[in-house]
Amino acid sequence: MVVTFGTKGNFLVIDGEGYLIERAREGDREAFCMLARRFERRVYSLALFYTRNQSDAEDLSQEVWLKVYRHLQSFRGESSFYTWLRQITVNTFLNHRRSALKQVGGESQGLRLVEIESVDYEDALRLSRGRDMEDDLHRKMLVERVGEALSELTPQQRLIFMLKHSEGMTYEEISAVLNCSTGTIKKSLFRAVQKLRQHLGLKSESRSYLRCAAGGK
Amino acid sequence: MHDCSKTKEDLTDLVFNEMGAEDELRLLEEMEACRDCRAEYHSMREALGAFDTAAPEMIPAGEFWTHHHARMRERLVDAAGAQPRDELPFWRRPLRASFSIPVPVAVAAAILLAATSLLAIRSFILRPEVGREQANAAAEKIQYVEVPVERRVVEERVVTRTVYINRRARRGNQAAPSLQDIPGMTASRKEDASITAPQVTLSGFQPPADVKLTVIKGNLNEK
Repeated sequence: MVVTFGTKGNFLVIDGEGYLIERAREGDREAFCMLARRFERRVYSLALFYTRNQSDAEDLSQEVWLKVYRHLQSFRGESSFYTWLRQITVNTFLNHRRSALKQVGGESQGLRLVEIESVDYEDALRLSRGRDMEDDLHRKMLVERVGEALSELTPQQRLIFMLKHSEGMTYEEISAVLNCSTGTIKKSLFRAVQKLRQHLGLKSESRSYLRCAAGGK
Repeated sequence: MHDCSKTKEDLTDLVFNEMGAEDELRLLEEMEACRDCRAEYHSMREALGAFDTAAPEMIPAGEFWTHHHARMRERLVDAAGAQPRDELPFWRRPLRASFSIPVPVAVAAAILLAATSLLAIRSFILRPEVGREQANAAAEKIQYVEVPVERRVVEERVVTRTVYINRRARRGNQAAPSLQDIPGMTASRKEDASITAPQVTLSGFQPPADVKLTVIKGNLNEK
C-alpha cells in the first residue's frame, strides 16, 4: 500500500487521504468507500441538523456521496478534500431545499429530532444500566430541549449555526458558501443562541444548564 | 462609557471567535465592570456548551452506519452502471466520456446552434415559394417587343455614265459649263482649261480617291 507523507509541526504524519483520493479517481470503489468512511459522520450530522429528520438526512448524505463520487475528477487539490466535500454538501442541501419548497411549498414534514429521541428513549434507559441513570436522563432531556430549540430555527439558520459552531467556518466563508450577507449570519447565530438559552431555561443569572434542562431542579 | 446594549451585540462575535484581539480584550474588560454583560456572556457560552453535549447524542450509532455504508455501495454501483467504468472496453469508453464546460460557453453555443438551425430551416421553407414568385415575376417582366432600330447602311453603287462637257452646247439653248464648275478639277488644270477652253477634253482627268458623286435626278430645264 502506498501512502503519502507530510510533516505537521515536528511530527511525521502518515496521510493516506491523498492516496485514497487518487485511487478513487481511478475508479477504485473500495478506496472511495474508505474515504467516505472518514467523513460520513460529519456529513450526516450536518444533514441531520439541517433537515431535523433522520430519513431525509440519510437521503441527503447519500446524495452528497453520490455527487462526490461522480465529480471526484474535478477535485484538483486546491483546497482540502473536506473543504471541497463540505461545499458539495451545502450545495446539495440548498438544492434539496429548493426542490422541497417547490414540491411542498413550505416546511418539510417528517419526524423531528425530539421524536427520534423519544423513540430511542427506552433503549437509552436500558443502555444506561451500570451508569449514572440520573445523568443519562438529564442528557436525554437536554437533547430534547436542544432539538426543540433547533426546530424553531429555519433550515438556513440551523445550517449557519452548524457551519459556524461545529465546522468552525468564518463569517466570510459562510457568506461565500451560502451567498448571504455577514449581517444575516450574525443574526442567525444570535437567534440560534437565544433559542437554545430559551429552551434550556438559561437566564443570565443561571449557570447550571443541565439542571435547568432537566426540569429546573 | 459602557453601553450594555452595544456590548451584548458584540457578544455573538466574542462567543463565536470572530473578534480581533484588541476588541476582544476591550470587551472582556468591559464585562469585568458590568455584571449583566458578564452574565449574558456566560449564559451564551453555557448554551453552546449544552448544544455540544447534546449534539453527539443525536447522531445514530452502531448498526446505522453499517446500513448506511451498504446503501452507499448500492448507490455507487447503480451510478456506475452494470459494467464498471474501468472495465469497459476501450472502444466504448469514448461513448461514456463526459467533459464539463463553463455555463456561459454552453449557453452561447446553444444560442448559436439554435439561431443557425432557425435560419437554415427558414431558408429551406421559404426558398421554393421565393423561387416560384421570382420565376413568375421574371416571366411577367420579360416581353418580346420588336423595336425598329435605325442603322446606317452604306449603299455602294457603281455609276457608269459618260458626261459630255459640251452636252448643253450640243442642245443649243444653253451655255456650256466652264471647267471651273466641274468638281474635282485641279487648279492647274482649271488654269489650263481657261486658256484653252475650246479644246477641253477629259483625257488625263483623274478623280481623287474620295470623290463623292451626288446624283441629282431631275430636269435642268425645270429651273
